[in-house]
Amino acid sequence: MSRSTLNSLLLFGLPALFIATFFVVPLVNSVAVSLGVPEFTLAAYRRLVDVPVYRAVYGRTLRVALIVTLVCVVVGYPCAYYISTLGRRGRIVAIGLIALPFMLSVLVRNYVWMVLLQDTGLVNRLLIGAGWIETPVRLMHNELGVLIAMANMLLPYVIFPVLGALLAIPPELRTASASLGANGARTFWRVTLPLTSAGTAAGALLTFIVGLGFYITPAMMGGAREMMVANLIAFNVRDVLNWTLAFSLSTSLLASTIVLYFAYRALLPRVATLQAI
Amino acid sequence: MIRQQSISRRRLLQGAVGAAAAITAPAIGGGARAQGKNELVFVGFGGAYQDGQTKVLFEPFEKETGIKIVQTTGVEIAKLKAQVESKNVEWDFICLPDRLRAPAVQDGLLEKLDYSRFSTADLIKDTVTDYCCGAVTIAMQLCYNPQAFAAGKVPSGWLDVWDTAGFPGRRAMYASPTYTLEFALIAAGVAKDRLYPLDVDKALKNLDKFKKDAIWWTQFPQVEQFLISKEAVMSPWTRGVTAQLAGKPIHVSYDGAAITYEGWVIPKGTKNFDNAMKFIAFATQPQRQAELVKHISFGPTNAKALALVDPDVAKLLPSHPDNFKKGFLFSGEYWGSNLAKVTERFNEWRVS
Repeated sequence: MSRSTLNSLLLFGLPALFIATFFVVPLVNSVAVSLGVPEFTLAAYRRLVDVPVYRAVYGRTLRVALIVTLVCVVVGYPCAYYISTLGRRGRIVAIGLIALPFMLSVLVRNYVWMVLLQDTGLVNRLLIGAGWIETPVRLMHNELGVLIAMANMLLPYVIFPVLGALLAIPPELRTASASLGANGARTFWRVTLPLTSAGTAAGALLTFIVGLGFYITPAMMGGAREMMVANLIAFNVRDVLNWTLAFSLSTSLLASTIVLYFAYRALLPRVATLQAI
Repeated sequence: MIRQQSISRRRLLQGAVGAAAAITAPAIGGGARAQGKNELVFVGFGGAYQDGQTKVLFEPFEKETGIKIVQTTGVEIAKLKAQVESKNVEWDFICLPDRLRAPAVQDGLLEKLDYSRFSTADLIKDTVTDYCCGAVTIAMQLCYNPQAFAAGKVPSGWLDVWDTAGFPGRRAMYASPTYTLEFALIAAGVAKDRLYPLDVDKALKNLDKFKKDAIWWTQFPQVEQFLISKEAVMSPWTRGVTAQLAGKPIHVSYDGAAITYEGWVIPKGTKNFDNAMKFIAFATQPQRQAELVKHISFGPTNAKALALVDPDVAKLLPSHPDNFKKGFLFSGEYWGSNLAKVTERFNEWRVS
């Protein structure tokens, strides 16, 4: 074996070893614990099916993640489109503004949303002050509050891939489209949108998967009913040390994510998936 | 050129091997920092509380004994379990809430304490058990914003919380069955000394009254903001005394308060048991406990400590005999064996 082959092997092998040690091993271990190894039992999974609260929380988790994904695509796409039309400097500023909140802790951002959305918060006070409403509108301590805060936190996951796709479109294509007689809307529908569908799909998938794991935000912005699978996992890991149940919750969440991922790939146009995912 | 490149690549690889070794070493070598040295590792909850512990307990202890205390934060029973089960115990002592003590004892995560080494005669009896020696008392009690009520017409107990006509305004409630069910039962007329084992159905039925309208919070720091902004006018909370003493518009009532405690525990398998016991003896002295009150408004467990505290502050602490009598002792034992089951019921009630 030549020296350079050895070096490349090491270069590949070390990160692989790292991933294996800190990701694959714990993951396999958590699946094993959920199955009650060394005995093999599906008791924990049975519980997830038999006890209604787990089904209800799964349903809510999937629903919240789905709605948030739709909101992020609807809001994020125009945002990305606008940023793509800016000059170099404007684009850098816009990207900075979108990335900036990422540097704040999730907890802090939730507190900011609380101050804005609660009954005595800024938004309600402005609306009452302007005479538009008389009693405060419930903007948080319910699902709406969770959706607003989550959409805010997940928007960059849509904006950045879409922006990447938009910037990758050669400007000549739009000129060509126009020279063939297409107006702006037609160019958008026939040229821009298809060429960015891969980026949008990737962003949406990312948003959905990250959204499934939200934990602090539902607890802080939601009401009595807003509970997500991550909250149940955390409770079982930390408070009652029921790791079998906790890992069966996380394994089934992972499994449903993988199933959804393949369903998603199958449904998307071939070209789009090949490019992006 | 080529030569230079290969050297730099080799260096890079050496660096990577070193980094990987450094990362994996603690897991393989089992090297808790304090083992075999004249050191103790403490894990705390951080914030003003741990700062106070540092000034009042850790620094003086180090001065007196020469035993250095290394600090970290993030008390979690799951981490303790992982440490004990992997025989890689890094923590030497913890100030553990009673609620976590019971599961820790059940899972065999703690060492039995050696009470032959110091006297516990002055400590509150209920807080001294085989595996845990009481350090501070804490009350989960009714806190309210007095500005939200007419003078002389402030809520004084759980009955008033449930009296939504007599005391209008939004309630904030702790989104966990612990404490919440006890309060609901008191409001339903159950006697304080007959609470355990809890009648969960009866409690949940009584909570239906504000299931929809209440704010259900999970993070303790949230409550201060709710009360001051009058987003909620009252809530059960553990930090009301601190807020009241700081002059914030928050007052507390001890009527029906759940009084609980944190105690010193030693993780199973520590190599520094002797030094950890020395620390516990040191930290439960009246003078030390009285000093700690200046930093955080938890009550001392040593009866002699209360006399050393400013009387205006002492009368607001959970350890004060008047307050202790008005409240009830929260049962860590009950919750230790019932938390999982009852929380499942509580969550079902939440989502239904």
